[in-house]
Amino acid sequence: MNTKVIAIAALGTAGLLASVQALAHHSFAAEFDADKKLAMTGVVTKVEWTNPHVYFFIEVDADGGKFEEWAFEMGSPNGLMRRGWTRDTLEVGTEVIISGTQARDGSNKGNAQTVTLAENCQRLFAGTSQRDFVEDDSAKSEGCKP
Amino acid sequence: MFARFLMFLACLGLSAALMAQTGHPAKGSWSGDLKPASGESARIRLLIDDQNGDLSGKINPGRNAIDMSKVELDAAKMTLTIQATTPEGALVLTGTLSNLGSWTNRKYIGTYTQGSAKGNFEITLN
Repeated sequence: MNTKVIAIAALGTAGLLASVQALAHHSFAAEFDADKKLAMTGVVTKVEWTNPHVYFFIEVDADGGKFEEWAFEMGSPNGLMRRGWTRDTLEVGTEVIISGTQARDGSNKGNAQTVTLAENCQRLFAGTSQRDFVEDDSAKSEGCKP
Repeated sequence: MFARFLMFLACLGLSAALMAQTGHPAKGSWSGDLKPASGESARIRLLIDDQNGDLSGKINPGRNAIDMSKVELDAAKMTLTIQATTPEGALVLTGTLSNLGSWTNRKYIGTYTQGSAKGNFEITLN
């Protein structure tokens, strides 16, 4: 009897841990505001290649030497891989130009639509779950052709 | 039998979470500022890797990255020393790792020399 109780309790704990990942899955509209367009340039500081969404973090020179960290959500690892992404596509230190939309709560978090590598102007679709793709001029403004 | 199977499943779930908690305290991507005794602060980024205890890394990873010539941790005092040759002169960072329990606010704080310049630095794990 005791063994059963312990086993059920342990399974419950494991289930709780697993639910953390499940909670991270959400609809676009629940977390991001399609009207809050973002276009920014920064340097990648971290990439988290995890389910259900890949996240990357960039450092943005917001005000002449005052740096801000922004987190961007992309599609699922599987979805990105089907679009040609690999774990090495974004490396720490890569300068990127991001277009996307900001989180509803106004925090430094966004949903990336496209990621343009500043080094060679290669523009990558970030596998966003946003339905309407919005053209942007962020890459053009950095000297990259659309 | 069923109870044992449940416990096996639970152990699998727990082990996945525990495996994510390992790693060298210096390993990772760091960002912060060099604050010279006079003049403006300069941004610095570090990318440190660990291969079975052998540390290596890059200063300002990216197109203009500079390889670290020495990365050494005194584990007893948690003192981390980094050396590199930069265009501005030899860079030596000597500081202490603190707040080791944190993944988001781990600090590397100390003093540095770069060529003839010297000052303090505060760098945070990204």
